[in-house]
Amino acid sequence: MIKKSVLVLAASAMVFSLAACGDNGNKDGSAGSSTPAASGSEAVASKDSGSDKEVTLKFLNISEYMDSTEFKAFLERFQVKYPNIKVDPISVPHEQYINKRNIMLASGEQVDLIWGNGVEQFDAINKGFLMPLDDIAKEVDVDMSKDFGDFKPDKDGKYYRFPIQQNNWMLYYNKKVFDDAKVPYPDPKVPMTWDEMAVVAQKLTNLNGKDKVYGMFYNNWGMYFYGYGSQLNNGKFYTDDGNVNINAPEFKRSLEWMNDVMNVKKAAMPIGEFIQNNTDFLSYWNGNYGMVVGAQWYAQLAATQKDKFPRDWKAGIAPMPVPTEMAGKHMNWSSIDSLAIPKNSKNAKEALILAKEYIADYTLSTGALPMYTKVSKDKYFEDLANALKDDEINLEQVTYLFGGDPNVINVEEKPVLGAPQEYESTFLDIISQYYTGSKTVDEVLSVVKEKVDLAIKEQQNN
Amino acid sequence: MEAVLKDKQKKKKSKSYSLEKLEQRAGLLFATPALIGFLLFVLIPMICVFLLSLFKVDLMSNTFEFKQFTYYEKMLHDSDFWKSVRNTLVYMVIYVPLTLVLGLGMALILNSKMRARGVVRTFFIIPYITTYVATLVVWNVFLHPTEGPVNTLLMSLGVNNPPQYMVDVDWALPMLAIIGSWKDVGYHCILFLAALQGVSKDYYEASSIDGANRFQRFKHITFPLISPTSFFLLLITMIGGLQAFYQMALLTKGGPAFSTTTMTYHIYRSAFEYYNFSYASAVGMFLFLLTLVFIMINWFAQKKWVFYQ
Repeated sequence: MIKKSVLVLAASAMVFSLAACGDNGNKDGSAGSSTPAASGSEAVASKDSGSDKEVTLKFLNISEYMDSTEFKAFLERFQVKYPNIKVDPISVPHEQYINKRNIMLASGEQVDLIWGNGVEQFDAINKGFLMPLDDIAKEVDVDMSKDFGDFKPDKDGKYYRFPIQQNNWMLYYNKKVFDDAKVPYPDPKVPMTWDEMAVVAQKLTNLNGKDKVYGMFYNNWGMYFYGYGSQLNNGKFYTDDGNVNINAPEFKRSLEWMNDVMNVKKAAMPIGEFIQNNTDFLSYWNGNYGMVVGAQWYAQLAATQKDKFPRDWKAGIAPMPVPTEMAGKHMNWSSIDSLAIPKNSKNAKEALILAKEYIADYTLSTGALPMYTKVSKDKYFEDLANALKDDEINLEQVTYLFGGDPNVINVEEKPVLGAPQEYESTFLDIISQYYTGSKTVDEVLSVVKEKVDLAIKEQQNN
Repeated sequence: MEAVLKDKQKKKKSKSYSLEKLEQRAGLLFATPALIGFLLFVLIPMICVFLLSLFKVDLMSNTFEFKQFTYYEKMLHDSDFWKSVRNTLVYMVIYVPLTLVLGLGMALILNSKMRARGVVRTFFIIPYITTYVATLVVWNVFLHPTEGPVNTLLMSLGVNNPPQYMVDVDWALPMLAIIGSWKDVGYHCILFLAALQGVSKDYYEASSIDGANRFQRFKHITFPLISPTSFFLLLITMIGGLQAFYQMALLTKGGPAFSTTTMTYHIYRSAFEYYNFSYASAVGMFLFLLTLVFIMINWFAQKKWVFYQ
């Protein structure tokens, strides 16, 4: 009798747990057959019948964009406009974003809309997380091929990303540091070359004062090391046969340039110190750095937010530096932040309505220019110039650098095709050895190539 | 009369039998919560992990494709996996003896007659009861390459290029093992101290009369009598060493250049960063088997050195 009871108990526990293991949040009994929303049209069809019922959308985004008063105000406006669509925002710091996204999707939690930069969204596309948007977009009156300018399909002729904004990179500089070092400001229209920037950074550096002043600030992100190379070879991060091209001479030159600034000219914080300080990307705004290459998000998150980043110095902006071979040209690292819909979302249409409002309303309200062509660019430039007028930055400069120059040359900011997540994290993990002097540049680049080639091969086999 | 006695005996027997049954039932009832916990949180997840390691899964759409032992094969051919095994073993080689020796040494000091014993004991236990995140933040500052007190001292002593600890492939892993040991040594000290205080003073008095010196007393009396505690601590330290994760996740993220990626961190990264749950499960099963091997070796070896009174 006792044995029987124990057996029944154990069996029940096992059945219960195994059921829990297999639960992907799909309660309609379709689990295990095929993808619940394999194509956009299926998702839309399922929505048409229930478009009037109240739905709650789970929206995963980074806290840098979500924990703001602008976002709360946007949600209030959205709620008034769409009372039947509730939004449950899930805010995660950017450095934890990938893990959070993967855990949520793996555990079967239904997320309806996810934010991501180029690497993160292509990682999601390659791993089969996302649903194509072509058909659903039509339902919400968006033409993916026209409404975002020159935005191309992501994979197999289909759009998976709903673009928010294209990064517009430039040089931000601290006028006080320039004045103290008696160095003239960079030209507002003609970019410096990287070599000129290295020399200027060295002149600005003062490590003997009360607070150390480095001529250049950087982030421990890939483009700060390989971006110069990307300008040289037009963003050729992959060879023609789809393998890693990071060992190309252009990228090697790029890494060597950074080594020169950091370890020879001592004009940027050594990487060991940078990593051990857990240096945040917004640290530039503490005033102890001369220059930084950054995108519009620096204006959006810091330059115009003086209550959060109070400063007694004025900022200036100039075009991003370029290689000597490209002297005089206005260049940009092109990367698109976007929204996307996981393939198991049951509220695809509503999610895209939220996405559309996010880019048309919220993005603009935060001081970034959406790629959505139906919003007025002029007003955006005027508002931004107005927010930066204390820094003596005028409308012409803003228009030129924040997305209004039709002649800007865009090159890839990051590798996004094969195994992008593995590419970026392996690269960053390995290259610190070069900057700490324990390996040569050739050695680190060949290790990165070897590892990421394997990851690409594996991804192709899957 | 005989029949009455037999009947009484029978009744007594059946009474004691039912009492035994009742005790058994009560015992099982008491064990049931633990049994359910074990089933739900250990055994069944372990079976799930094993099954996961045999399938290619798309957890979003719940599709499973049987892959036999493909992920194990991949694991065995993966240089990163072998690096993580090596890193785990190196971590253990530093962490286990350091923690045990320091824990025992500190316990021996506390067990002797000394001033402010209570205060010292509190100091020893503080790292163990402090949260990992807080201690790691302090260590990070302590080992800062340019402004940390360790390197400031070294530079003042004329060392021109002191190590960069957390970004140096040669230093990062040993430093993490030292930090892990520093964190756990207080716990070991307390358990060793409890064991030392359980050793009867009679043995020491008798050995003194026989002319035994300190070392002989330690070797022939103290060590054998605290050997059950030592064995327990050896086991949990080894298991802790095999599962080292926090320092790597919070301080180095497995880097630089994979030099602090232990097996648990490799599992974490494969599963949650690269979304390769099947491969991560295969590595998890390997880690389980490795832990089992270590436990078995210790289990058989303990017969030779552990002395149960």
